[in-house]
Amino acid sequence: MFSADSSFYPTVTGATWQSLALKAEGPVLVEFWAPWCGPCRMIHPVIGELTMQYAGKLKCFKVNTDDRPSIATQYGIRSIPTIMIFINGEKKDAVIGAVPKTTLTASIEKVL
Amino acid sequence: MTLQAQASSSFAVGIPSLTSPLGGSRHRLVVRAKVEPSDKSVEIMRKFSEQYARKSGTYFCVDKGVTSVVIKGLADHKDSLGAPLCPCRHYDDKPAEAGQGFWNCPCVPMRERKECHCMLFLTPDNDFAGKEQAISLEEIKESTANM
Repeated sequence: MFSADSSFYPTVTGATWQSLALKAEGPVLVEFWAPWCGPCRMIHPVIGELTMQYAGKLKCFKVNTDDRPSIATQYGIRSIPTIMIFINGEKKDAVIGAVPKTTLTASIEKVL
Repeated sequence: MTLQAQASSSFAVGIPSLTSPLGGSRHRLVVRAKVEPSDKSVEIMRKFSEQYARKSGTYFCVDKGVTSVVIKGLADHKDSLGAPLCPCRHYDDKPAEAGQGFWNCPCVPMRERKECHCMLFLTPDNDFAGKEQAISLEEIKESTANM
């Protein structure tokens, strides 16, 4: 057994948002999080596991909403964590809160 | 408003060169500063959390790390904004939200429907609810030491 954490998927910055998230080939999962958000601590390892589970099929990134408030505002983020799935820069799904892994896999399977 | 003014002035002491030319936008600089919340505010929010859990019949998360992070987040906002604004939301304007009060802890959804999406106060039927309504300062420090 191994434990996944948030270091398994990279942080998107203002400069890389376009190239990594919006212009990527295939589906992209983005976790919007904040440093002092408790439920974010619960979802980090789940996203870490999904990153490995769907390696080659799904790209996973995270956005710190305190560091990148303009991206969060642009996508209407309110509750944190919010997980969004994009294809070709278009938002396909959004999941709010520290949900079970099965909820996220259901969202991912829909777009694969 | 008085509280906000006090909070910003106490922070501004250390960085007068940054605050003076930026006028109204100085709050944003203060809010985004990555510092540990003060021990005083952590203790205030720790005690508040224990009291409000008992009062509302709710329990802390089985993973007290979640509880600790949220308490520190509330303390951080108390330091920077003068009010314990919920740390599990994104706001276009934090000082304005803190002044408005809807998301100041305990927020309106918590007071009206016992809904805390930050998972600080969990009703007993919640899968993540533990059995405790108490958390020590040591627990908070230990579980947030590696952040």
